[in-house]
Amino acid sequence: MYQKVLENETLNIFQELLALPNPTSREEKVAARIREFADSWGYESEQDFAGNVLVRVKGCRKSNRVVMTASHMDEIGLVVTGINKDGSLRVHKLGGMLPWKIGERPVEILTDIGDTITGVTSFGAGHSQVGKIEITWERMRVLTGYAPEKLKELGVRVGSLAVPAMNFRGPTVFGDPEDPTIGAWIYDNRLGCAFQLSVLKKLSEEKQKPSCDWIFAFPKQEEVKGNGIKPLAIREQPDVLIAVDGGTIFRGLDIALDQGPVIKSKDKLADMHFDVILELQKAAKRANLNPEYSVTDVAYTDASLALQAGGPMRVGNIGYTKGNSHGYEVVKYSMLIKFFKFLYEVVTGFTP
Amino acid sequence: MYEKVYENETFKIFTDLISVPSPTAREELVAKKIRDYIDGWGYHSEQDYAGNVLVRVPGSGKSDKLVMTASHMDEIGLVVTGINPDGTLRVHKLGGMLPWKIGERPVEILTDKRDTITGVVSFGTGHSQVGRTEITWDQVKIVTGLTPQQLKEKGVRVGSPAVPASEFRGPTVFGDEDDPMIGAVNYDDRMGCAFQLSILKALKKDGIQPNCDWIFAFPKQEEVKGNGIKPLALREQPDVLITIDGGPIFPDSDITWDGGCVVTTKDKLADYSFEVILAFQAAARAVGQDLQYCVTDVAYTDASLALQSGGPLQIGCIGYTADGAHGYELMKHSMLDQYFELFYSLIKTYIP
Repeated sequence: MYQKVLENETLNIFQELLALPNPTSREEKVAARIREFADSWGYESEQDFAGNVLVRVKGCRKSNRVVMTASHMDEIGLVVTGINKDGSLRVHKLGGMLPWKIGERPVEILTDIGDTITGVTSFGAGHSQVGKIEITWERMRVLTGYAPEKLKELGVRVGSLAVPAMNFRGPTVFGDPEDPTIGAWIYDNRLGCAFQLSVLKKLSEEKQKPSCDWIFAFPKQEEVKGNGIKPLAIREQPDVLIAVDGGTIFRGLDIALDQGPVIKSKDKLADMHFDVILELQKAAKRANLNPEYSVTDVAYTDASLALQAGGPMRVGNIGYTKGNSHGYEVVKYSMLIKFFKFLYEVVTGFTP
Repeated sequence: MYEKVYENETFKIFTDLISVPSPTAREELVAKKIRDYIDGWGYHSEQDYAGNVLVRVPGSGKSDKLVMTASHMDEIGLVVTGINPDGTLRVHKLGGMLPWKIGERPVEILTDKRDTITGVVSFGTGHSQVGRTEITWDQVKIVTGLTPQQLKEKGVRVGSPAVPASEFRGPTVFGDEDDPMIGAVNYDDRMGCAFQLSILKALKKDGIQPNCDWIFAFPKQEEVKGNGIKPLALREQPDVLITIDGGPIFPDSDITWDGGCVVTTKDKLADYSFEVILAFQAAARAVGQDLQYCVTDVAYTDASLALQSGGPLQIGCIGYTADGAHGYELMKHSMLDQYFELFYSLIKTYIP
């Protein structure tokens, strides 16, 4: 029933990336997979000392500026703040995780010895939680089934990170077969990485070049203050930095899942550059798409974070329309097609 | 690594039972599985007009009383309260479900056409929820990817129930290899059904009869006021009704994972019969086990519910020790053997 979804190139790449745990600052596995993809198509990927991955692609010099598109590799999760005598773990958010979104489910805890162990998030006995209660991180623990001494041996400590277990991440395809809905824990932002990779693949297959010298960047640590993109953008000093991320349907916006893609105009930290917005509009027009526009004061992206640190001269942000941000996120199948076309037009036609 | 868990008879039956949805009032799939097991071992199962499943096992005649053990087939879930113009579903709890326990995940919505469609639980955009601590059902919807008209055609309406999607239910085995932890959404109370079924299998294999006539009952609708057991117990009028259910680790109780099975002596609705408690103690002594005791004012069982409507004369409740009630519930592997052994001992030793 959903065959066309399962055959989609971007989704196939995404699924491979989704199968790897990559909480902020522990993106090593997904970074290695991204480099394998890029190198297998004839590129020479690089990884800086911080761990950010980048692929430089020579442009056809319609402009002598350098553009960087960036989709961060990391995902939100949990961080261990303490180990109880019974071997359960006290936890807090890593990035923008919310306790009611993760709920009770199996998680993988990343250890210091390169492995993961399984645990389950727990709020305790539900019978006692009727009525008005506050849902905070203090109520949650991760049950491990191990004693504290064994956890130490296994390399679990305060600061260890956890993300939902691989079997419980999806993707899940459902809804109207004409334009199915696809859910997963979570797109943000391995789907952006998958879009960049599928554009790189097409450029290689069709021997096409970007409009100018282009850096496809896959930064670490966006979810905690953009601590990957900042040193990267300062060293590379792109003229334009465009974040390729989710086009979140923020409260109050009139965007539906089947609309977009999204051009962000303003976020919590920065106004996107007007000339970049106009260039993105042109790319959308060439792809026969009707973009939606977004403003928000509750989120930021790698672009606006990098601008805070002075890396790029101009910033922009394009997003694949998605719901349920920071949880079991949902996109429409048609968005996979539309956003790929859009990004390809941006890369091949953007003239800074 | 956890072979001994996967080879356990009760665990295998349980894994099979949780593969089908069984929200309160829609237990037909699990009821059929239970009957297939029972009839496959040479018993003659029955199903009353309400849908409760039972099997009568004749006793050896040491007592002329009638005992009924009951493990309910239904599970908690969500119920559709409204359909929005965009095809999302407004929902509320079915039984004791809590929004922060289910979290964002795929669910199966049971339709009037006796099949299911997939949806995803959504709290909306996470970015807008920072600082929130009060979580209510009004904040939850299910994304279906279908229009209201398509939902109607598929048989989804106000009142349709939903439960976590089968591939996200577990079981998950983890922790110390000597005594692993087992998690699943949720035991309550298909694990009790699995225990009753594995006991029935053992009785047949070992050629053992209870000391009196015994009804193994699998009632519907425990999670909503015990509306399955009430008509069943009134019609069958057992002298003793014993609930086979989870023994939740309530906050501030002294119950521990490895302290033994849990005898409820008092709950929100009833005091349990002293003579039945003594029978549990005798059964435990016979197999060298310790028991733990529970009093609670936040929960009830099929036994105390049935007593409210006058069905049985004496009641008891013996529970397998579990944490995380009404969510991703957890128990130790050792409890599988321990509870089976205690239950079997009860059948052999109890002469009411």
